[in-house]
Amino acid sequence: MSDQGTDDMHGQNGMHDQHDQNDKLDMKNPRASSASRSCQDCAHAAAKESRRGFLFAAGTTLLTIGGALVAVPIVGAALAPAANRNPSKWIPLGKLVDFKVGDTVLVTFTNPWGTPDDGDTRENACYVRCLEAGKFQVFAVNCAHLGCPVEWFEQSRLFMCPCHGGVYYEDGSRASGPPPRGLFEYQWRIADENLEIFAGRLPGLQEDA
Amino acid sequence: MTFVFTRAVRMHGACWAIAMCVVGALGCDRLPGKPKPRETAAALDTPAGFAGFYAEKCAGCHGVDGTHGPARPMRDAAYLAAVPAEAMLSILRDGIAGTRMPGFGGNRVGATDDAALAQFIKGMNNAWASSAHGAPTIKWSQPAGTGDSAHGRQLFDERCLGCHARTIAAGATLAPGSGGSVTDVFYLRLVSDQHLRTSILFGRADTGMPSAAGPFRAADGTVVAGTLSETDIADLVSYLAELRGGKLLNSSSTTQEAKGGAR
Amino acid sequence: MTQEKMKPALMVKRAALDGLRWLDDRTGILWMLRKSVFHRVPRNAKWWYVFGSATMMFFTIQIASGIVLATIYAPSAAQAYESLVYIDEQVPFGWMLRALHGWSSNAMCIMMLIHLAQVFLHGAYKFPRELTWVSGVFLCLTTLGLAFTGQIMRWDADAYWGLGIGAAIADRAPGIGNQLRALLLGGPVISGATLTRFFTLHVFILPGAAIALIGCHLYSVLRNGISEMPKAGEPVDPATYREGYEARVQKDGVPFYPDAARHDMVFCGAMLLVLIGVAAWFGPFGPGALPDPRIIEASPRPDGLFLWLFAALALLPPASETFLLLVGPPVAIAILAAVPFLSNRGERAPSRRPISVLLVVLLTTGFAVLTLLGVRSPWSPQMKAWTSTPSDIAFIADRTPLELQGALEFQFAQCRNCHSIGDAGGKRGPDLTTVATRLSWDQLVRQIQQGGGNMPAYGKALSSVETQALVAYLSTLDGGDLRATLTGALEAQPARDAAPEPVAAEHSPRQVQ
Repeated sequence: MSDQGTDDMHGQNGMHDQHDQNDKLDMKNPRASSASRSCQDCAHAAAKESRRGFLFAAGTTLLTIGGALVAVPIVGAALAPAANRNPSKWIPLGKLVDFKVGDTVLVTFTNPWGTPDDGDTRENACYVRCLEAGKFQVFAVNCAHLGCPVEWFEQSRLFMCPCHGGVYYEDGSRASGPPPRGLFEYQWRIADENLEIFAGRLPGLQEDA
Repeated sequence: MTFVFTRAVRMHGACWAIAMCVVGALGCDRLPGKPKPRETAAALDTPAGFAGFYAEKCAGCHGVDGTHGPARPMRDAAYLAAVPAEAMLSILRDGIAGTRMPGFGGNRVGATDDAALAQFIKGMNNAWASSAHGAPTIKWSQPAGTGDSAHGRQLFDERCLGCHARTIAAGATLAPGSGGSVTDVFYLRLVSDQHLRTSILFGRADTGMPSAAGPFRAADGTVVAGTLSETDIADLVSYLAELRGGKLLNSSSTTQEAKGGAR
Repeated sequence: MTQEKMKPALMVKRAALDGLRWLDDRTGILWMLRKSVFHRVPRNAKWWYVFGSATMMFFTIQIASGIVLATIYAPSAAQAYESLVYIDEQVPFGWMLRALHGWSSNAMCIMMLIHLAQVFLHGAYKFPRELTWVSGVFLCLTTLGLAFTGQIMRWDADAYWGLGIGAAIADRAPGIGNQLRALLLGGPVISGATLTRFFTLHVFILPGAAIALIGCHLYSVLRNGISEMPKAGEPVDPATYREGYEARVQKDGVPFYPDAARHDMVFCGAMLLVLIGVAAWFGPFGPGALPDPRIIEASPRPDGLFLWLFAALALLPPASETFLLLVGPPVAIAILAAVPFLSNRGERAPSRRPISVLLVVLLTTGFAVLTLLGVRSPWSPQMKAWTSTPSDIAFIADRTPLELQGALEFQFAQCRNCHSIGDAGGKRGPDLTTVATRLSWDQLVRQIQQGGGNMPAYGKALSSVETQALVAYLSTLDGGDLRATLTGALEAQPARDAAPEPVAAEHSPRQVQ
């Protein structure tokens, strides 16, 4: 195909474009086109204009209301997680007698509101430190710096973080490294000879677990 | 020279492309990038499984290949043959209280379960224990406090003093042939009676410490032949254990004689 | 020539021509082609201009391989990992598909960054191509977003804890941290909702945004033309630039296809072969360890592209960390996007813009150094070193029993996780190979018991006997040079019975089993 041929095609399309544009102009500015008509049809034109105006207003209103209504579930569902209700529940971690005084142990528990679809991520872990009979500290495994899993070393009685080297003492207080504070702690209570913690969300700098 | 994209060149290129595709398609599974099938880790009683577990959990203290480390070398056929599997399992699972042997089982972070530990022990015995060592003549372990410490002291003077002077070798390095002080209360407080008994009974090939079969070296450097009996060992342990309970050495008079100079 | 006499080949040609004319009449495709593929570009647009095309080619590969992957991958937290293993092991060509997708993603990012640097160095963002640059900056962000969300698709331990890091950063936003984090994770914890959320980002939102932005980017390239190679002494003057450019291109330019495109074709073709080679040789990325938060012995690392960020997070001063994390990125992006408005005219040649060249050199070096540090991550304790990293025999031979107990203590108390002896061990703390030449006995005791200088205090964890044994061992680490002449260790040792402790206390709380 020659360049001439394409130019022809282009020419035709160009004309179509021009025509379309005029149409658009008309639609955008109905008053301008009706004003140019003779006053003979003034009444008729006025009626027509008011009907057009009404239709435009009605269309805008309906679209706005409809759009807003449709947006409610879309935006609502999208933002729902930010509603920030605390879904935590009291979760039993084990019998009191199973925690030896002086020990710090890793205990796993299942997210109280998780679903099977969460797979492994439904499970969680925390460190339980038994200071004396009936007295505990329950730490989140997440480093207070950026949430990496800290590991407990019973020999040096330290928690160490593998990411950026945050270190904590056995009471959870910061020992060294970049963490801005000590380990996050869960609320705990004793119910029915069981140790229970209030868990269900990721602990963070804003609020403890 | 001008390059002409002729029909022949195009045909040639197409043939090559098709050939490469066929080769690629057929050989895809033989390429080096293909991920290895995910297999469960080798059982710990296999040589590979044992070596992997040892390298991860034991090599730090017991030495790369079990021959030379700060802790007792485990590549010691006589020792492995002597320690019953149940005792070894208990040591691996719970560690040894009061010593620097940590436990690797129980409810610890990353703990290994008893079955796997038992497999590991089997793997270790397969690799390092020798069938040449049958039932040991002397029991591996013995209740504490059964020895005669006075006789132990006498034995120590006769057979140990040649290497283990009572004075503390301070600072840097041991003289050749010296084993360093074992009567140092600091040392004694860090080790168990069983450690002492094991060391005397089996010796340590890496440090040159002889087993109970000797030969030993007296304080004057003469070689003393002869085997330590079960009672002898108990007496020695009881002597050393008594030293541990004693007043800490006032070593302000520490001499450099045991050091014997430079490295 | 009558129809009966026409050769079949000619008939086919004519039919095709008719078909094309019909298609063009209905779609205007030839006009579009003439405006795009055949538009005239400066004659000197050669090898420097291939990186944008290569980026685009890799993006096309991402779309194609990504669509097929999406048909096999299970975007469910319970099944994602298994489905990746299934793709690797069961699906014909599956592993190659994943390898291509992963490596092409890296290649795309690298090409994009080179393209960015080239455009910046050549001053091609100046009048009238400001919006080309701005759309490019947003494309850059979208691409990095795709890379990050793609890493999450792997749904292994790195993905899980990487999300944890993202959540912890979002959580630092004052006031809205919790909400921001919940929006990121789709709930108050990392769960199945998190994966579907990132899946949506990775396969719908970000690719859609990328396609739209590429449209804008290409449209503005076509509208304002490809910039010429910069020449010193030919500054951009908005008043006259357009006419001059048009005239030069009309007079001296060549059609993009096939004249200028040759270089792109050769480069892209070569890059394709490299991609296939790399994918075939190195295979797919991960998946690594299971994404199970119960498995604590994880050592999360981001993909190579984000290692610099990992390094920066370790090295930022803790006091200003939150501020820099939250304010730094938006400011950096704003500055980057504002570049063409800050310098809209004037010289384009790198030789006349030393500050720009310096900036590129500094930034490139900075990112390279941070990435290298990220690979080595000396700030991370080696969590298994205490049981797995032995001493060289030179550091344990000829030691007294007490010193050997100290060497044991060095392992036992996890000293080696952070300290090296003879280059073996962690790099977080100082190397202790010759520590006895730096610290006296008393200084060692104090350092161990009280910590300090980013070392935890071991006073509560070690008994005084253990400390003395450890110091006795450390005092032997004199590099072999000082020998017995070392004053500190020898003089201080006699004082070590200063704090005797009763035997009963030997069984400190640790030993209560």
